[in-house]
Amino acid sequence: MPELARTFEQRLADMKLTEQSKANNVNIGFPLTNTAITQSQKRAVIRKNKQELLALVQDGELMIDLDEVDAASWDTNKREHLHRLAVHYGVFRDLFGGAFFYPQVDLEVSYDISEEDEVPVFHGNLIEPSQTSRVPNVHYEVDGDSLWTLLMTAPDSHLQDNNAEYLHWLVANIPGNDISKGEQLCDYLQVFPVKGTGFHRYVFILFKQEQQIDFRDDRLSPNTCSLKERTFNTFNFYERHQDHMTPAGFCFFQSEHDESVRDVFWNKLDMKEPSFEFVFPVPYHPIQKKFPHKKPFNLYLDRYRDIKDINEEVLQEKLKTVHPFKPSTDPKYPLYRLQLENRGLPSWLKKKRRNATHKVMQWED
Amino acid sequence: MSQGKLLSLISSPFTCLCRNQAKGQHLTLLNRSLSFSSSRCSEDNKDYEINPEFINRNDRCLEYKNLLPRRKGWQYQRPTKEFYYRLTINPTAAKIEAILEHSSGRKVVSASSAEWAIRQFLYSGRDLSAAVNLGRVFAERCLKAGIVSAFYDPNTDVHGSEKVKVILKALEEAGIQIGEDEVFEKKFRPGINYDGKNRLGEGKRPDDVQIIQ
Repeated sequence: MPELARTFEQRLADMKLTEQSKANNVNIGFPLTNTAITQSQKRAVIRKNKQELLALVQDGELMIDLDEVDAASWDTNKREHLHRLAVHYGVFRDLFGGAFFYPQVDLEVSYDISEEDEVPVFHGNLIEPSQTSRVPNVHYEVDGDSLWTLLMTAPDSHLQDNNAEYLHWLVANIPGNDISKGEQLCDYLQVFPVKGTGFHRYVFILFKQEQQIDFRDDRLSPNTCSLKERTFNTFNFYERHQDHMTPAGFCFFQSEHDESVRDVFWNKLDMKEPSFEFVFPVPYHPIQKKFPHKKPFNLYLDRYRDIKDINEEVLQEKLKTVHPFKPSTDPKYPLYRLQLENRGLPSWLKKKRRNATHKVMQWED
Repeated sequence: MSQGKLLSLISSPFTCLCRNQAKGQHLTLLNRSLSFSSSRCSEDNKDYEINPEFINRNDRCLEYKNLLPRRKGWQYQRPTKEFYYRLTINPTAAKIEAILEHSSGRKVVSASSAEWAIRQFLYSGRDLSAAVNLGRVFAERCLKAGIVSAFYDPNTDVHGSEKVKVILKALEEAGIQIGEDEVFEKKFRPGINYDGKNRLGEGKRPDDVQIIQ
């Protein structure tokens, strides 16, 4: 009954609820606290604006400073927005197995592409691999003495195991802001999304340490190019150090294949550049019937033919017009010739020859 | 997203599965003889076997390529669900809202003139200049989130509102395409590969009910 039946949206919500209750959706970071601004303070600001901005608004020239808005939003709703985006891109799901955290610190990472220009890393923006060849500039606001760990992983790039990640950069025991004074456990390697595999995510995570931690087990050989050594799992890494470390910030970008990826494979990693092709899911076909009702027999039978037989037929047709010594010449006015030759033939044969001339269906190549 | 694993009731069979093509061997040999780079580790990746099947876990990857099929089953319902990202602009009496939603219902990017971060710099929370500035803030947030295109239903704007037009203009100026491209669908070709994986006469399985996460 409509009164009792749940709508599609309600059924979806119920499914998602059971999903969430099963998964390990725990807040592993710091609690989310927003600075409260009283209503009277807000009213005072609005009153001030009504006097100061009236002239600008009347001329239609009020253009607010976007950087100021961004800075102000950090204390109000930006952390929730960032959390939302990270959930959308599956960052928490793939790196921490569902456990999430709200960013405490605004992690600002940017790549220098020339002396004047730099490409910042936000939350999902698209960057080319050639722009990531140099070590990025990292900045975050610190109060007092504290130790931090910065991690850069690629959850999508692994060439052997789908659930593993590659470690691109790991710096630990960073005093305050200064990355250069931290312990380089893994040297920076340029991003290398493989050809044909689409956009890969690259995530920077900043952990806040309570004390100096011994990262002996996590140290890799300096300037390592071995992909086996760089195989990483953020979940296991964090599990070992979770008592003294809390995730405090993140940022991520997406990248697709580029010519510089080839250089990385040939020159740095010293291996052949792999390339992939997207595989469409296999279409569904019902079981073939002996007497299909109201189905054109030629199309129905063609659908169930072995693809090897079809390819053989196409090849034989092509070879009829190919000569090993004479150059290949396309016949003049093929559609007119088709019209003449098709006269008097049965309709299924006409369709087949028309497809062959127009290079459609199995004749497309 | 793992294929075939009972990860959850909500799973999409459309994974970003890629297969290895033949590697260009002659090109690599040529390059080896010419490169004199000093930071070469010749032995480490010599025996590194690459899996011929590559699954990209990034859910957004297929959306950028227009390969992921959109939710087509609601053609007689309004509002339509056939999109990846939908833009909603809602100018109300108290404020102006701009929301970018994913087809799964998740809010991806949102901006409202009622947010204190924006409101403290505005004269009024609901006039045209608020719309102009909200459009700029929203467009910047979309770009930072890696949004390239969004679907916008013009029927939602009943009054032909100037505020809506101004926000759309701000998005276009920022480089975000209003209106998504067509999905790339594989053309039908006759024949079944009986030697390889085929779905001949398979029973209906829960994966066929595609609820995009």
